[in-house]
Amino acid sequence: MNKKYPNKKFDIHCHVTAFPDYCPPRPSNMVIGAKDRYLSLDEEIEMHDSLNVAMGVLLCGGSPERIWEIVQNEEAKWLADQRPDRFVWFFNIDPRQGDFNTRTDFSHVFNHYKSLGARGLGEISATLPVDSPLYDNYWRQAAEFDLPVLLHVSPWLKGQYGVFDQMGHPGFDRMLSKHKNLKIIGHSMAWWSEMGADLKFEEKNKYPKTKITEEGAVPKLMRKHENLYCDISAGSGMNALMRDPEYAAKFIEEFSDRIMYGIDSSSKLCDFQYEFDEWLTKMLSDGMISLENYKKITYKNAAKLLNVDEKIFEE
Amino acid sequence: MKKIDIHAYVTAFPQYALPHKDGSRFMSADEQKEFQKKLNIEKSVIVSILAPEGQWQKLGSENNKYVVVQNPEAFMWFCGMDPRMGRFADDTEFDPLFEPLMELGACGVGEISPSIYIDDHMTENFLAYCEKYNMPALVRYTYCYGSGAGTFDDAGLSRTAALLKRHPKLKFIGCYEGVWSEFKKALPDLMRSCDNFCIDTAGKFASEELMSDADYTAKFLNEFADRVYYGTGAYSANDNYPFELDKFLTELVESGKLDATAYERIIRKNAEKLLF
Repeated sequence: MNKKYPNKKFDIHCHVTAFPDYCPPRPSNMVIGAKDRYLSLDEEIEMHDSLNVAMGVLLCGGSPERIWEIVQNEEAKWLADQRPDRFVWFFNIDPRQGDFNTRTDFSHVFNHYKSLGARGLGEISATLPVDSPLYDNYWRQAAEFDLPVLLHVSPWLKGQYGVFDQMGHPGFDRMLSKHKNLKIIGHSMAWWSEMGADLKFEEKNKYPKTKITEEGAVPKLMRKHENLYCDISAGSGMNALMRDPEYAAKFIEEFSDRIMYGIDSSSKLCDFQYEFDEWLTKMLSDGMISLENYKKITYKNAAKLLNVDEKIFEE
Repeated sequence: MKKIDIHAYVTAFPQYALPHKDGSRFMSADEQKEFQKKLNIEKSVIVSILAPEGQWQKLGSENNKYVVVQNPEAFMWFCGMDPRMGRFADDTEFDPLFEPLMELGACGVGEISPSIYIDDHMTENFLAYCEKYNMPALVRYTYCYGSGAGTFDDAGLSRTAALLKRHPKLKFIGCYEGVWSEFKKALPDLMRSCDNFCIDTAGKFASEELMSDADYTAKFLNEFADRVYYGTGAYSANDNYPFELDKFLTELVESGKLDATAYERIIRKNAEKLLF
């Protein structure tokens, strides 16, 4: 038993390459001047072991605005098959794929990848408005196929990858209302920056540091829509909670059933996950969050959503 | 003379590949090698599919590199890049992507098929990098926005002509419907005015255009023999049109309508000069 942690974790947000030798190194956004690449399977497992993570969700790249390196759907499936004890996977289909119109039928694609074992869609990042007709058609079918959608939000329609929405996430509000069976998992700076109402547009794609004196769009939407989930991975998820621990405790308490732990490590140069892990563990040990809620956000919610046996996370 | 196929698709994961609508799928390496034997192809260039519009699947650089490493005698590869990658901006710097991919052995870029105009600022910025790095750019065209996979131009391909004049050192290979629909219209004039505009024969539409009028095709191929590349573009092992085209071209040469030298350039020597 790992004495530091009461349970193992489920990482909802993993990026792994099946081709570490062929994955072109890219400029790091962690260390200026350095180059990095997605982790290999073994590297991801090593990192997971250091954080007591028992299972992760492998995500795929999909949209041209984002991709520096591709992780094909088939690649994620192959990776998960190498270590089914450690990984499940999502697939990625861009809403512009196939017939490239607002009536595109994704059923054969969704059926195919679901039959191969995919548990959801992600990381969706086509830079189109979240409530555009293309996305509307896509959300409808994701809901029909009961596929949770993990997505990356963008504040702009150019210059940044991600599902676009305006300040206050009005498009997400409309789509979550229209597609009540759609499960969206929100992620990224442009998502999490909306924790507080004092957000200025120039900070929408950054890491606001102010205390939450008035709630912003994220808690309001989480309250309004039971089909909205969020992933606390990456610097954005970390910042959203660490910027105001007192508010984070309230947020976790109220939305404990729909927050999911994740890392989103894009390379060996990432180390934010260790600081966040320390913080989360301390929130537990200080009594700021209950053990039950800690278990929910670190594994129970993801296990329930993705139909994974909870036993593997109990020490 | 054995051929070089400049436009082939191979999946490294045939066991998981999404079936096409007719139930077939992209070929595995072994299936493509069987295909090569039947068509007397010595080597094929495996190309990428990245742009989502009009396509159901992706074939990335890593997929292609892996297949080539496993089968170096049969394949070469083009890497996959999209002008929208990186920063989704008009001034994205692509050096950090070109350099490692060229080091990994990519001998060209393509298919380049974003669903934006061929002379969109993002596309032109990207093609300038292809020119800078002397990397052939295989560009897939559709007819117009929303009509399928590919970039597009106005009727007459005037934007393409203007773009190529601005980038005279760019090695540009246009393919698919948006180009071949101009086969009897603007294409000959474009090829006369832009000596860096090349085409490949991949895809069923191209085959049908070529086979529609033997005399016209022979005249066209004789004139532009040094800038036409043989390509199959077969989406599956079931595709029959590459065999029909092969028979057609063979008969054209045997009839004397197509010069034997022109034929050799098209099926092999142009690609040898470009890639080796």
